[in-house]
Amino acid sequence: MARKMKFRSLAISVATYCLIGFVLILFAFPFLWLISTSLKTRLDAFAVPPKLLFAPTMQNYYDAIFYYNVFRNALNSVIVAVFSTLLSLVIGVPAAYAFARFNFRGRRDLGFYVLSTRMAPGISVIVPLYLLFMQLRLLDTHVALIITYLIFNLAFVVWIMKGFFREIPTDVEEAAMIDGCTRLQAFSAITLPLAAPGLAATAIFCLITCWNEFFFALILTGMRSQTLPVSITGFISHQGIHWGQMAAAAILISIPVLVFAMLIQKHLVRAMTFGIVSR
Amino acid sequence: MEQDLTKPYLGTRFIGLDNYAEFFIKDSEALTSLQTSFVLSISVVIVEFAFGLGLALLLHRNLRGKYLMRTLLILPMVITPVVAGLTWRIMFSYNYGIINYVLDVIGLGFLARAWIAEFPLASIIVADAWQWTPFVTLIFLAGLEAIPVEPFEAAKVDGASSLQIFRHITLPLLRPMIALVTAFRIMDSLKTIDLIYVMTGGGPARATEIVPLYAYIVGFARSGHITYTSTMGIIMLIFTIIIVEAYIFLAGKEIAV
Repeated sequence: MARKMKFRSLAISVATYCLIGFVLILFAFPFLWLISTSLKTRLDAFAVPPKLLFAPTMQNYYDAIFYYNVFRNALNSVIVAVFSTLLSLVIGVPAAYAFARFNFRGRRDLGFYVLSTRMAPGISVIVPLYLLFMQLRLLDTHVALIITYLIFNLAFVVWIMKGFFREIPTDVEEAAMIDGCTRLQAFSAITLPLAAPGLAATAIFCLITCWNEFFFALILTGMRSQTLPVSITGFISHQGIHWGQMAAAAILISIPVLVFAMLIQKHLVRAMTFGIVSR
Repeated sequence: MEQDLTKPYLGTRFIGLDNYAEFFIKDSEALTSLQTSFVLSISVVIVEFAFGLGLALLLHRNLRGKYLMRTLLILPMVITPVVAGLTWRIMFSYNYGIINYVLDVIGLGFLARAWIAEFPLASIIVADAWQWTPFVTLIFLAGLEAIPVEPFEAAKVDGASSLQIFRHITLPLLRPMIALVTAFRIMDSLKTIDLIYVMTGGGPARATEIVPLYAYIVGFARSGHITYTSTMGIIMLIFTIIIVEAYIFLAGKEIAV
């Protein structure tokens, strides 16, 4: 009897592992196919049936980098992402601290107001932004995108950092203040270093979001400031789609995102839900 | 207000609620796009919810290798949506796609077709589900881990079946997560422009043109009627506010502000 039970539970666990394995392969497969497409020549890619084994070529990567100027667009993406993230940290971290430590009137409403900037569909704010940047002659500049990304980055920073600050006990801070520190000193010398891991995770999350953003970039940029997600749609041209080069460019875009995501995977769900789900 | 970027000589005029009237009464394309938006959002939420919860329950049981699986699950959801769209465009394509190939290999070659052209909305739902089911799974996993074991043990001692346990203990305890996931996925799927833009561009024959995409086309691509774009933006904003308010009503007390 006992042996029978054991056999049954073994069978169940083998079955679940197989199921899990199958599902994970399902999730990983599109990536593998993208990689294999990027390594195929035009001829191999068109082969019927598709070739699973083929002589890999780096030609697509070469083309993507040198003919389509991936690096120039990458530079635009980096500039926009980095500056927008830095600015939002500078503005958002003190705000998050205030939300975490002080109880002021309308705190709840103000909190949801900050969050609403992330919830709002881009289409409902794009027209005023477009007209504003047109008047200021900022269309097709990095500044326009940096300011726009600041809007939703700030919501992330305030909400995520608020959660991290709350997890730091107030005792240490209070002890420092009793010893004669001002609140600002206590904040910068004690609380901020303690919140550093959370700060890093928040910053990386903001970088990823900026890097991936498409809609605002599509409308607010032109030749000079085009970011990567917009530029990759250029591979879909009137003469057809350059599949190989497109796949190569797609992989080049994804590498930094994946590396960064691995660094903060512990905090990722937390960041994506603004700290509402906190593990 | 009425303003067209391509016709600057007309200037800006105040026209009351004409744009809203246009949207809801005169413009059949707009109403179609509204319908598409809701069909897409609701299907996406149902599909992702079902698979996400199923996968979470599956992963929750197995402690070994969970870390690795989590890492793998993160990949689709952080990838640039444009890249996800392109990847699925390749997967589904008639000549380059693996799906037709697999069908051919298992002897169902006659089913091979240009998937995106024939099932545009379904293709987008598949791509979106691929990208966002992991998000749902990870949130439910977090929720499952936060549930204490005592109620489960008590129920088992009392002889409850696993289905009963799931219905009467797991689901009620997951309620805040369910509200969160539903609200987030509806909100975000209502504005999935990037995925659709690269997969179908709204076509074929506007079958996948959701409201934000239509608004973009009206205001920036086909013409410069940006005030109408703004109108649609406000309409979508109102829907979003309704969803968020519903969420805050359902789970508001559990959100620490």
